[in-house]
Amino acid sequence: MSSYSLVIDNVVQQSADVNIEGGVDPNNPSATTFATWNSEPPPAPRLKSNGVVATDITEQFINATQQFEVGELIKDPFFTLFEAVGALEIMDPKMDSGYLEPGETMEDDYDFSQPLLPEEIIGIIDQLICHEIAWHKGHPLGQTIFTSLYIDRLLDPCPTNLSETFFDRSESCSDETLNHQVLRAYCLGLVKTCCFVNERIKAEHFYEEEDFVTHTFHRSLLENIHVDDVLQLLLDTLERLSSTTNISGELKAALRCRLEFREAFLKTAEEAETRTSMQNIKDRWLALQILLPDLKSSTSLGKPFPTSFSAKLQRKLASTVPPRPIVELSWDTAYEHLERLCRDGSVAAEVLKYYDSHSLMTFVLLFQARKPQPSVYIRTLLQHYIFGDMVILGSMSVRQVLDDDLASTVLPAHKLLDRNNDEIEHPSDPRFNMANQMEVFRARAAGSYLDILRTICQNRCRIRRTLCRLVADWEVLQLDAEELDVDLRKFASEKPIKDREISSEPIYSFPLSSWAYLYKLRQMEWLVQMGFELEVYQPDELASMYWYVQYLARTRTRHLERIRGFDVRNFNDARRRPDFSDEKQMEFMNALSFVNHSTMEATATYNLADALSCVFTILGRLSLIPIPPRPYSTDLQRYEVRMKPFQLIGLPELIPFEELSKVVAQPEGSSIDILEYASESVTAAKKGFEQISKLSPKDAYCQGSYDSWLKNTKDCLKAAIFTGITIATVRKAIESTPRNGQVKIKAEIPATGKGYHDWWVVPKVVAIP
Amino acid sequence: MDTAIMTQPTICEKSRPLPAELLYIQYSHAHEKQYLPSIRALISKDLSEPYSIYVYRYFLYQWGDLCFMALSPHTSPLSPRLTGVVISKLEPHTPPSHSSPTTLRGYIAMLAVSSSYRNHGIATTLVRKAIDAMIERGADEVVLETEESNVPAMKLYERLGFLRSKKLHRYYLNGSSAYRLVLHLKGVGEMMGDKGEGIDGVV
Repeated sequence: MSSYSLVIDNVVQQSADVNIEGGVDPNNPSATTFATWNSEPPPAPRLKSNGVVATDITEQFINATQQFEVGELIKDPFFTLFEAVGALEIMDPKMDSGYLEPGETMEDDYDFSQPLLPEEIIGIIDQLICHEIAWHKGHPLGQTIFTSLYIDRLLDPCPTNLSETFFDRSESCSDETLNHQVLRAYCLGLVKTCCFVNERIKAEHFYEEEDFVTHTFHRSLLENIHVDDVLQLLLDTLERLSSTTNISGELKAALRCRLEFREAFLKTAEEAETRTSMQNIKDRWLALQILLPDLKSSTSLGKPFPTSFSAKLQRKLASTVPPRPIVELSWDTAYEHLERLCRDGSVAAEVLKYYDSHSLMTFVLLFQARKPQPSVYIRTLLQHYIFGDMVILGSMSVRQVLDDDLASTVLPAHKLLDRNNDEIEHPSDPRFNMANQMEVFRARAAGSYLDILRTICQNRCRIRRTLCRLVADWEVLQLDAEELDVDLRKFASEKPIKDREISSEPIYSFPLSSWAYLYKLRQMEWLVQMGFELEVYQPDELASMYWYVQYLARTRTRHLERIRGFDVRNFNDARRRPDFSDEKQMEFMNALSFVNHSTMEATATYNLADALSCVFTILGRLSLIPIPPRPYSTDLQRYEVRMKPFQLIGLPELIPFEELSKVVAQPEGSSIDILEYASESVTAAKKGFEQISKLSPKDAYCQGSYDSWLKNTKDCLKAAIFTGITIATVRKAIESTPRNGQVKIKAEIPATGKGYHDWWVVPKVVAIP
Repeated sequence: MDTAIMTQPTICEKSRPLPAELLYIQYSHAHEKQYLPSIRALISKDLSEPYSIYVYRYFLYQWGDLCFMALSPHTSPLSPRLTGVVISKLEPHTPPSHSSPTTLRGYIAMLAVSSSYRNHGIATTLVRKAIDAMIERGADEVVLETEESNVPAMKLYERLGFLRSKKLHRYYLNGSSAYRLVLHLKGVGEMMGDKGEGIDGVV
């Protein structure tokens, strides 16, 4: 109903336009065209459909529209901005896909039988490489690969076998020129590669148009043709090429390396999907990478052949928008992207080797933080490796990973995770109930846990935005887990800690909610830190935002201390029992080692954040940070905008604005005292990052990504060292300034990518004359 | 998301005094014939993809009172030249997750100042007029998007009190990213309180 009336509204609106345009500007092409149309209306389309009676309402319609004032808008409430934006104006060359300039033809007149020089083949292939990479980078096929007339010739009409793919349709298999065959084999290999890439991306989580355009405009990417046939054609063509004597050695080599490149890329795309052998995938990417330098060195032999590309081809595609310009991506940019694709693809496969759940998370976090971020194809391959068919890394159940994670934090060698519980069938047996309730928990927590991994596979902006939602989800998970903890307590016959010094109440461990809280805190820290990386905060917000980082990290260390307390208590109890084993000992040691590592990391984080918060506070006091006038908002209102993601979080509670501004501004502290404190904090941070950087991959829970992890840790260390220098410079400047004088320094805040670490914005303070 | 191709055309400002002869007028439907063509021309100058006339009418017909024009009578007193324009809307907004209350949300869709008139605070005056009109109509907040590379536009809004709330990856058709900027005109408690009163009033 509503869509029908929408159409009517559009039509009404369009005829109203005709009237205005005609009145305002008689030279307007749309006015003249419609004038012609008015004198000779085309016959009404014949509508044939069962149960539909068509009535010609043209006359009533025109009468009705003439009652309107110019510019009057008739719309139903469902006509949204989105629809307004989607509306088109007929005869506007930027909107009307059928609009032709005088003398312009609808289709290209291209002679597919024209002979091509080897140099021209190289030119076309290299242009296609640029288009392929532009597509990888997020541009639609219609403005990239599909602008090639040769590609269009292959795909339209859709071939069912290779014999239907000749460019020159008067030819048969036997009289195709070698040059044409090289181009055809290359193009078929290209489209088939795109098919694999497109299917992979579509199967995983990504954002259409934002990350990538999977739209094929109703064209089949050779789904009907088997990959082996295309590979065989590439090999046959290589053989034919090698036996020819008509092409000079240099050009022959250039053509050969392009065919080899295509064959290798196609094989890589085909096999990158399999999760059975990490080594095989790595080898594929490396083999592809080795071929690249030859492409690069021979590209200068190519002769561009721009007439074989046309923006007009977009008119043949299933699309409502007019042709948009062909995307121009330089060879150098394309080449760089291609090299990185190979490198990232090879590293992504390393995720398949599982060490422990924390190392897995570290791997994904650091892989996604690579600069520039791995392209969407690689990111979707990574997702496929991790989650494909809900089999984690191709070999593990979600339960295994989740139980690993619980065992290495809050439940080492714990009866709640004892697989033997599953075998108990008697409902009154506590083990039956433990198995049951743990299954309830896993069903609830698995999605949230995997969501963290899935989220950090997205683009950087989406990671931050999705974390806002995840944090709220984990808040609820924590509360749900708390109820389960209370239930499980009696089945596991947990003995509480009684410590009059802490509380008069018995203290229970709440393992599951404790675990959820730990992850929630980490995500809250990431959320605030991503804001620095994405340059979301204004300079005068930095003091408060780093204060928040230290608040969250400090809360995490206290929480880790609580977890450690129960792990140690359980360890001591377990040791006294006769069934204590080496295996159990290892589980306890592993959990304590993880808690230890996390504590070190959280401590270094809060120390550096604390120091930076103080530095920004002092720079603010010295009026070295600009504060905009902001006539339309109060400090409190802006604080509410900034802290919106944390508004619904119960624990740790959001600090009320007044309190926060006081702890950040530290009005009672002298600047020198505050800098002294900052200096102590940064010294502790430096020491902390130094100690962390000496940990083994196992103790740092970064197995499989040690090099990236070490670089990341060292970058944090450098940020801490640099913060120390800034503190000393500011202090010296203050001390050398007479009372009430203006300090002779200025502060520069580095843009993202310009500092040592994007999560640590360290101001650079320089003397001014 | 439904405004994914909206853009804030490049503006560039420094605080220099306004030319005294500029006129700021609130749009109304009666202006359509005289000014719509120049509004379109001014805005589409900085756009890679044009908006159809519906997009302009969508805003101007429904929220003409939130759209303001800067006119320069200098060139010809009888038909003053359009030198700047701001186009906005104001509607109830319900967050998708229902995590926060429905607010009356203003949206600044388009802002443009003709290049020869830049650096005179015209854009700031236009935006302030739009925000003032929204406040008068009880707006809780104002949002907009701006291209990440459009530093002058971000500075303008941030000077007024907007904060960047999120970064939007490859938001525009040309592939560039954007920031969402948000200005709360009321405290969160007040926004929720308002809704409570509304319900009481109905009862």
